[in-house]
Amino acid sequence: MLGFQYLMAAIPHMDPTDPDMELFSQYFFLMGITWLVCMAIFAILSAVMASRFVVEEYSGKRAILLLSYPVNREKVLCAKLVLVFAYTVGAMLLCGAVIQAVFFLTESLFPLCSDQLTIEVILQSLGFLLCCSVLSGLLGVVSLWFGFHKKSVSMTIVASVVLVTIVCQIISAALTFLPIMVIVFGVTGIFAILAMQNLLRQVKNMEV
Amino acid sequence: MNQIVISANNLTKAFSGKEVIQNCTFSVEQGSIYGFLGRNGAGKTTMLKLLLGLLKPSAGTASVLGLDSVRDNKAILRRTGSLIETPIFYEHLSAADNLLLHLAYMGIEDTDVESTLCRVGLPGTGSQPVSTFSLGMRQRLAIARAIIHRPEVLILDEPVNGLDPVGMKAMRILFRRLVQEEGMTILMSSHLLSEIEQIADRVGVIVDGTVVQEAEMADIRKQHPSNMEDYFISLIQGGADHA
Repeated sequence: MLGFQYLMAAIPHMDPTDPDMELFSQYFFLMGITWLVCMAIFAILSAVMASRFVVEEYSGKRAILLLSYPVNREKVLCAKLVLVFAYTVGAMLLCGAVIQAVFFLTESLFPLCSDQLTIEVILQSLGFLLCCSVLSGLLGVVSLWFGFHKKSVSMTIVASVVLVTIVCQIISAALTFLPIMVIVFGVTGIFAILAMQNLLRQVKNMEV
Repeated sequence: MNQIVISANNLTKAFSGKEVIQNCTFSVEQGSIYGFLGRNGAGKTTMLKLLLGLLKPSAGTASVLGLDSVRDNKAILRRTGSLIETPIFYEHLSAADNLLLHLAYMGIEDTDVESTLCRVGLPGTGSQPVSTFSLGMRQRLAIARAIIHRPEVLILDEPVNGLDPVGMKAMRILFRRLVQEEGMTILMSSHLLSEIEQIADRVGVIVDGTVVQEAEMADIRKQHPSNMEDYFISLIQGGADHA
């Protein structure tokens, strides 16, 4: 991702006469695109983890083993979902923090972008990184609902690819327009909560 | 008469409108081995799942240790050891780790895993990954998992599947010891006549989801000393008409 970041930052230098390339000289746009790509990757990672920890565990004969233990079914599922969500968000935040630290450090010494690097730019980028990290986790939960419904690992992953594509398209089309981000965040959050409630109900009433 | 620890009253289970268990009523006394005998697909596994609360009955009730199988499901699972269908393990973990994980789920810490492995004929295999185990070894490990937390009741579905004759005999001896020395009650299903004949104190024959005959093994031995196999086959094939 760091390489991708530098590649995009170097684009305006390849053809300085092209006015469209000016976008790539702005830190907010550069970081926004990077975090969106990161979000897509981590949302799919989240779906893969969720399918491994949840769909596989509650499918077929493995479900008999899991449900034969005298533990609260909802608590076990909640623990798995929290683990997947926290890992996804944490891993993306860590990955993003490293990318941001290295990129902004080199930019302060040998700037590739013509934009001015300020504290506001860094904070704005951090805020966007945080939103994208949480979104990637939420998208993983929503994708899991589709996969769990069909008890299919591939369905979970395909659902995550489709959802990520839609969300990335919407956000990238309005990168500088904050209300869109808030709406996408809110809608995904609501869907994730509904998906989680439905998953808990399904597991509670599950027969194997 | 001993205390009843497992009972089913008019138990019925339907899947998509089709009844696979129909009005089954039976009971198992404490400290005995009850054998469920039936053909493949007769409903033995479904019955055991209903008792453990893994399936919810469409009608009727089931209880284990006086606890309702639906309402008190967790309490039943805590006090019961079970082996249902093919044994499933966490393949990448060792045999001992699988047992320790099971104990953690059961809320038990202080148990000697190696001694349990020895009891089921798997000494020195604790550190081996389960993925390297043969079918027979997996079956033994599944039995170890069912007994390691010292349950009051064992519910075993085809427990000798995949075992060689030596292993089958060893498991028979183990089950008998668990009943005699530790007071466990065992409900086991099998489609192997010889297995049920040799180990069960009481037998229930299940045909197309209905318990068609229940009898003490001692009585059956007395009544059909030379043709016990024919007797069971006639029951299994003909159901209630031949009972």
